[in-house]
Amino acid sequence: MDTVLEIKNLGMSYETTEGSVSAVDNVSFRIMNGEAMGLVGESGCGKTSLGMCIMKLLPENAKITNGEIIFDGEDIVPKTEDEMRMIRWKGVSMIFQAAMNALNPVYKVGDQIIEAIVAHDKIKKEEAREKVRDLYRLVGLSPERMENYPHEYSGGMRQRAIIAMALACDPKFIIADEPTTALDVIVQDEIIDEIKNIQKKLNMIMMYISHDISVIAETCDKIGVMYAGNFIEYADTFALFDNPLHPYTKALMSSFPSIEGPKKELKPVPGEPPNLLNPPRGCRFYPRCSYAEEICRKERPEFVESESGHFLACHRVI
Amino acid sequence: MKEIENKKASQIRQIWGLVRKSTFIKLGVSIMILFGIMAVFSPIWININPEIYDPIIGVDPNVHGSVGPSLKHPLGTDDIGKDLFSQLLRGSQVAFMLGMMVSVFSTIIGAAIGLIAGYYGKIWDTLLMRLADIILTLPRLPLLIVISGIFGTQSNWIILLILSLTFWPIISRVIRAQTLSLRERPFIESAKVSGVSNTRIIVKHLAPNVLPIAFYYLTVTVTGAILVEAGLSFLGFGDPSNMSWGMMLQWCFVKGYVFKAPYWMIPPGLCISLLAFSFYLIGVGLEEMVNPRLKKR
Amino acid sequence: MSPGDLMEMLNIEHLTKLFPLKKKLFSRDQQYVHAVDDISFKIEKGKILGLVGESGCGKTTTAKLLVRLLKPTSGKIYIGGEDIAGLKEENLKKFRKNIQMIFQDPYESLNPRLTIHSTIAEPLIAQVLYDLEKIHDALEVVGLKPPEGFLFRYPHELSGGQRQRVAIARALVIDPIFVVADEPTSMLDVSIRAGVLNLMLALRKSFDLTVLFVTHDLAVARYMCDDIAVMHNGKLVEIGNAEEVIRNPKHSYTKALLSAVPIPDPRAKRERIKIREEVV
Repeated sequence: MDTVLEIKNLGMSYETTEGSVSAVDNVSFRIMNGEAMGLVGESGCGKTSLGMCIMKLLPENAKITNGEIIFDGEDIVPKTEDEMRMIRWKGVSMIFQAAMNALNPVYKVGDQIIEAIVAHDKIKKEEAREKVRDLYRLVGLSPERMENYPHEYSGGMRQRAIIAMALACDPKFIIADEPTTALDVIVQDEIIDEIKNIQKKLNMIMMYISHDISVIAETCDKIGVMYAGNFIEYADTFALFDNPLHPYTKALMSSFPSIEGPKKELKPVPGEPPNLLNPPRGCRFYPRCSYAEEICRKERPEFVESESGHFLACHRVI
Repeated sequence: MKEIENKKASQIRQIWGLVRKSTFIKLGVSIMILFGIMAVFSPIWININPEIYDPIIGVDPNVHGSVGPSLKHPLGTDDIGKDLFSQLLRGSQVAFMLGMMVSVFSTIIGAAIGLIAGYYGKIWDTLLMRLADIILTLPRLPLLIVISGIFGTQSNWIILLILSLTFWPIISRVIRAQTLSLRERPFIESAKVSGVSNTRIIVKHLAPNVLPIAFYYLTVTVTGAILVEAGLSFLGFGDPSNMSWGMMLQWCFVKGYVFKAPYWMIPPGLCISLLAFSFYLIGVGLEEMVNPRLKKR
Repeated sequence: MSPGDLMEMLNIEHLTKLFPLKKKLFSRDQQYVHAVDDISFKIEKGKILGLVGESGCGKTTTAKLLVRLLKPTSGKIYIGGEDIAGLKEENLKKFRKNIQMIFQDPYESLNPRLTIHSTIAEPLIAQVLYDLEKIHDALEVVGLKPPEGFLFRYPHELSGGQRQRVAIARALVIDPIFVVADEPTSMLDVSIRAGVLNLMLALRKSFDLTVLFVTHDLAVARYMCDDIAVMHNGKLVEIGNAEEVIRNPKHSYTKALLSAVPIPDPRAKRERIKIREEVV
């Protein structure tokens, strides 16, 4: 089957003391076999929430309000927690942000990964141990390090361990949520390389979530841009960079300085992202958009195919 | 500066709004007000007939031995005919005054010491915290006895002094811990870089940020002070020139009426517990108020 | 000669900062961490020097040494011609007027209990220069208009970008001649970052400020700075004109650093230079 993951009209909201926050609104896309998709956007755009939706790791006060998440042919939205437990780590796995928090400080790192494997696959501990050794080699860690505790690892090593854990049960799909944000640039570079190689080698699909468009440019085949809970643009990586269509995407592109090429002036985007308690009725980018018109204020633009393979939610461009 | 005043006013309104919402605070304050009314009512009651109703020297000549409640003596009398109700009202005054003054003094001392120890660190920290430790290990009762011996008298002022001195160490530890963590925060570094003096940093930048927890300890200390005073009085170390709930219990016990006169035994004990509890509730309500605000960013 | 006349606003000579490591129980030698190890550089008046490097390289420690939040172990720090490295706390107050700092965290660098007015007034009060006009001007100059709308708000009512602008206003309100900016935009959203960076460039021009810009982000350093200095393990490994350092790095560490920076262009191909550092 070609399509491994398909999201249809997904909506998710949080209940807060001040009301309902619409964190993900009407999101649709699909990831095909072997693809790495990047999800880019700023804080509060909903990208991490989207990742949590797919893993169904939502906090108490959050719920999926509508839509489908079709993974491997099945809609996982209606699945129970028990059913999800079987799918997590095996079908879809996640590399979390702030990896330090994902490792238990009182257990050896190797043991923690072995536990994860044994909990999901019916194999003996010794077999699991062998597997973890292989995983360590795969992510660039020395297998002797399995006997160490998390605090004995450097930041980069911990991140590699987290990647090893995410791969432990041979998932088909990996969601990486800002896996390198807390790391130094040289280590970041190595980790990104590692993730990319592993993805290609094991033929997994990947969703790479980040606010850093440079990192996404290097790792992903397709890119989805999110703003205030909406998907506003989706295209092949080269197509997006050659021809960004949405005003926000264009603005985002010109906010990133580069060490290559001529020095260009950075153009800031005026204003602030909207309050998702009471999102604007029309296009959520309307207040900050320099191309905005009346219709943008009144109607939410549909997310449609503008050119072949290039999707967009904007009244003005379509 | 009208705008500054308006801003402060709206801030107070904001806090008041939160206070009104808290059930704990409402309950605590209601009970506290009840006792406040009692305290205020005390002189009024005495004035009805000072010869009978004065809590220290008043005596009802028509009564022999301890009698139960009646219209003339709502709570009855003690064994020599003194009105128990006026004693209870006077006790209310004492509990409030003592409780509040002890908590204010010890909180101010504790906060100041905690801030200084936490901010300056090194030798100040060692000295002050050792002092706090020493005081924490001293037993209150023998200390009170010794000091009363030195000053030659047992008075509420001595009790006030002792209690204030024995309560501040706990507060100072907590404030010190808070100060230690606040001291490293960038806004404090920024103040230093701007050339703000150490004193001003402590007073203007650190103190307001430890205020919430100091406030909480204010209320909790009142509870402690009321209970300790009651205990001291019950053991006979209270101020004989005045009357307090603990003393009422002491007299009842000493005179042998513990099982014979429940109208004498129960009210003061009940009042001690209730008033202490009311401040505890306020403390809990304050803690509730302070925490969710911090979490919501 | 007043500080304003000198061509070299900042001159660091053999600056060193050692931190003692916890002593092992039975050993007699005290071990030290060489956080900043014998570094020397100059910044000319009106220029921005970028101090780049990875975490733990000593750049933040250097920043703190320059504003004397830390006392140097040895070396000299000439600011406007005067050496402040050895000054005792009592004598520093005068110099605090000339040197200010902008901190990294917009959420932590403002006292949550003070209004914006009070926050910006603090340096003025400390230097006995209080003037409401100056506070108004400072807010206007950083783009928080109208100033009256911001004076009596609290930090939690402002966004990250606005808070950072307040931090900049606070730093500039006493007319310093030298400013240290410690990663001022790394905790801001990308679309907000550009605005704050551009603001800083404009302010440098209008006020002829000399700036030390500390960052781990080479792309930002290239955008903002005239010159770039690279630090690694407490040492200064390379320093030079920004474009030169970026295009023709000389030191191997600089080369490795540059080759690791991701480019916002899917077509960029980079030579990977792996450093044999502690990886496994």
